[in-house]
Amino acid sequence: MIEITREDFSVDEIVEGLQPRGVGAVLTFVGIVRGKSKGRAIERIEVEVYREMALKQLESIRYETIKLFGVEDVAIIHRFGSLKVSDRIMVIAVAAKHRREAFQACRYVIENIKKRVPIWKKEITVEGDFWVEDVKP
Amino acid sequence: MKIRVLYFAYYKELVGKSEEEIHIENDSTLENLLEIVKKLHKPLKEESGRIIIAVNNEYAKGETRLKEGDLIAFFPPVSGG
Repeated sequence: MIEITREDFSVDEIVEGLQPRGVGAVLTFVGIVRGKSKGRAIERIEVEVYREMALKQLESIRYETIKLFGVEDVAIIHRFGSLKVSDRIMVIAVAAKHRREAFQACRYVIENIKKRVPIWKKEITVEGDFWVEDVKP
Repeated sequence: MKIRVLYFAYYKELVGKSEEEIHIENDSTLENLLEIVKKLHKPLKEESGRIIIAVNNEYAKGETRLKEGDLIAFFPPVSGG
């Protein structure tokens, strides 16, 4: 499942959705709006997305991940719009037979989202607004 | 020919709009279009080395030849996740 949405999501529902396939593990990674960035207190963030291209990229990443690591399924949900500190930004869920490939696959997904999916974050702080630049692992 | 151009994130703010239509000679490349766009929107000049470009929702390089009706997007490095 790939989704780009303004709405919050339930991690439990996503995990349940991946379970009926009889897998041994579902690994989830949840990205959350941080409270501080470069010493500045964050009020909220604005997430902008180039929807058509981002969906295409996410679908490619999902397909590559299943092929490369032999995992059973991958779900990715990314939010956009205005988000508060502690809000969920995204979730990656990987269903696999074993933990090793689940962790490798999840890492591959998040690194590739940060590298190539056209989504941008702007941090709104008391000191001004700042676009987040080149996030390195 | 007519080309539809989209701007995202910081570039949308620099340019002051999210999209526009640009007329360009037939057989032009993406590099030619970028030169026109930088002339139209001076603040984008400063961004030269880091502008990312997509053609019809796929990443593309400067030598790509454009055709009527192409959808081009210019944007800064991504920061999702």
